[in-house]
Amino acid sequence: MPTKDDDQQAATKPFRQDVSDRVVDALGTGETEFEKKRGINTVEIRPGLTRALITGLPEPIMASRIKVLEVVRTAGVSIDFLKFAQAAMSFVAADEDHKKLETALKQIDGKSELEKDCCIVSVHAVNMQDEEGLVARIISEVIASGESVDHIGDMHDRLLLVTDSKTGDRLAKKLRDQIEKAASR
Amino acid sequence: MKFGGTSVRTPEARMRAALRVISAVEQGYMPVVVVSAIGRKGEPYATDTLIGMLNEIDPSVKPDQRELDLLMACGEILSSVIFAHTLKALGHNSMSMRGGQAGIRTDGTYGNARILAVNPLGLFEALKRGYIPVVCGFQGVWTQGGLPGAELTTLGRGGSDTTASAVAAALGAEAVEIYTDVDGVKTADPDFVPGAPTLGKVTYDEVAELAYLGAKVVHPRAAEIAMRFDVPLWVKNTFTDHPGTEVVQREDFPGRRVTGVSHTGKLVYVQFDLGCIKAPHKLPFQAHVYEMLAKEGISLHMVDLSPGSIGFAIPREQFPGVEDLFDGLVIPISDGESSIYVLGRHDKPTVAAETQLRLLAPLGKAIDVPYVVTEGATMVSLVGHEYMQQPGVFESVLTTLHENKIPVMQVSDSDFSLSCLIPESELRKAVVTLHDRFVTQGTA
Repeated sequence: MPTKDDDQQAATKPFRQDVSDRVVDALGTGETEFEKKRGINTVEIRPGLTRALITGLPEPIMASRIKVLEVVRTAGVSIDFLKFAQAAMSFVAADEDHKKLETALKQIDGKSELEKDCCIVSVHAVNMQDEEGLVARIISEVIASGESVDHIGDMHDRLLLVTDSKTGDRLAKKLRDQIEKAASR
Repeated sequence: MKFGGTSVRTPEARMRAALRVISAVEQGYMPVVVVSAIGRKGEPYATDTLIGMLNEIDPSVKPDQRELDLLMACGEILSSVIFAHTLKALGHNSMSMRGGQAGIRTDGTYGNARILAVNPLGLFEALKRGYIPVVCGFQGVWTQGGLPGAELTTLGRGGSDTTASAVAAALGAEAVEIYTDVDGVKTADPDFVPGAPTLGKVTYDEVAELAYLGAKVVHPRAAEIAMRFDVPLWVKNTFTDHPGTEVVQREDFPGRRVTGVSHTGKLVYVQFDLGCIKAPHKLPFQAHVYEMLAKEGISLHMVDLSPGSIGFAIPREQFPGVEDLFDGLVIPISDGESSIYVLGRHDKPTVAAETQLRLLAPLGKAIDVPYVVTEGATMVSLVGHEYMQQPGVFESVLTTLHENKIPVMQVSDSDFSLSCLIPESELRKAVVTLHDRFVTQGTA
């Protein structure tokens, strides 16, 4: 443990900050919560999206997909949530680009379907990937809610679910209810 | 100042690290040091070596997590005492402190505890007395109501970085400096792109996303704490005088179009074609599969959830467990009409799956659900801010990979990133190609 001599020695040292003030502050304010609670924290909705489903793409499939993306880029449309399926692909764009997208997709070798008024439900959960099984748990809860989700994306702190707006509202409500239930436990 | 395993593994490395601490003192700062365990996997005092000592007794007996926490914390305790003594030998008063002595209080989740609070009183007292505190990273204490003493807990992955950020926030420190063996946050893994530049500044979001997608930088938990408490965070090299990378709030940095290229470890991609599942059974079937994965603690990437199929990538080390789980798994569903679904690997029929199907055949309701496994996969990602929202990003990335004959099995994106699932054999080429196209040449 430090001795009296040490104290005197320390007092002569240059201090960048006033330590004694900090001690008082620490005693006065007590402790601060540092890490957010594990699991789902918040649920948000980002509306105004159009979902595109392209089917019947010819072989070679990757060249066909790139051709679709080229057409979309030429139309000046930014897309998200690109997903591949057999001879198919899907993505979302802003509702305001719906018309441009509709016109552009007429040029492709495949069938396209567009659905307006979709949304992204963001399910925030800190440190998601290190919580083993958390992503699977959120997905199983989403599926168990009975609401259908078209796409899933993920970031370091959230899972992003694409669905139509009505479903999105219901899904967000159900997930928020679950957060409340978990908090009251 | 936090020093990782490579910065404290040898006496020479510790001397370099200690001289950095002393340099800070000489500049008028009052540094608080956080250290990781000495050495990396396989070395005498590394965490894995300590756990190995228990496994040597009887590998079939799983140690209790509480016991593991006590054992794993030894590496940092040893490291902090040795580091403090190194400082003392260099003429500076220093004292090692366990996480609990440094005021780190956690919840009771052994092995992956969450920091609830930090009371820095002990640290301030040590500083006031002229000591350089050397705090054990990766650990805290859980105080159970009414019981004497406190239980030692470990913080899980990124625990030492998290300790440094939390301690810095509690102290109101001017900055937290994470010292490692690279110059800072790189635009790509220098093992793949030796000339990858070091970023001067990145935002907390970028660094968290890079880490999430596999880059070995600051752990997202540490970045999150530094961001919440507005503590400037630096990543620096113990062994060079490079200025390092400063991690800042998004509003303090206009950002760049592409931050870098990252890659994950080895993955296995698993796909189910739901064509054989009856329409009303599709949702319950999917729910059942994901529920089981959640219970087993499986980490998922690249999740594809569509009416016709399920797809997800899992870390290769978790695949044997998933294969055991799925092999011959029977999922009975009686939603309206009842059916019994039996899972089996498509390319490798197993005795378990075939036996289940044969036993259930007399019931007349057993349906074989084959799943396709792609081993040897990995994920390469482009991380950036506003560039990800530009038209043509997907096309540029896929065209670049396609032109270089790198097959893409699936894609996934978020606000900050675009990831492609590719064969592991193509990883180096993919990282080099994407880095060259989007970082070196720019994105125009």
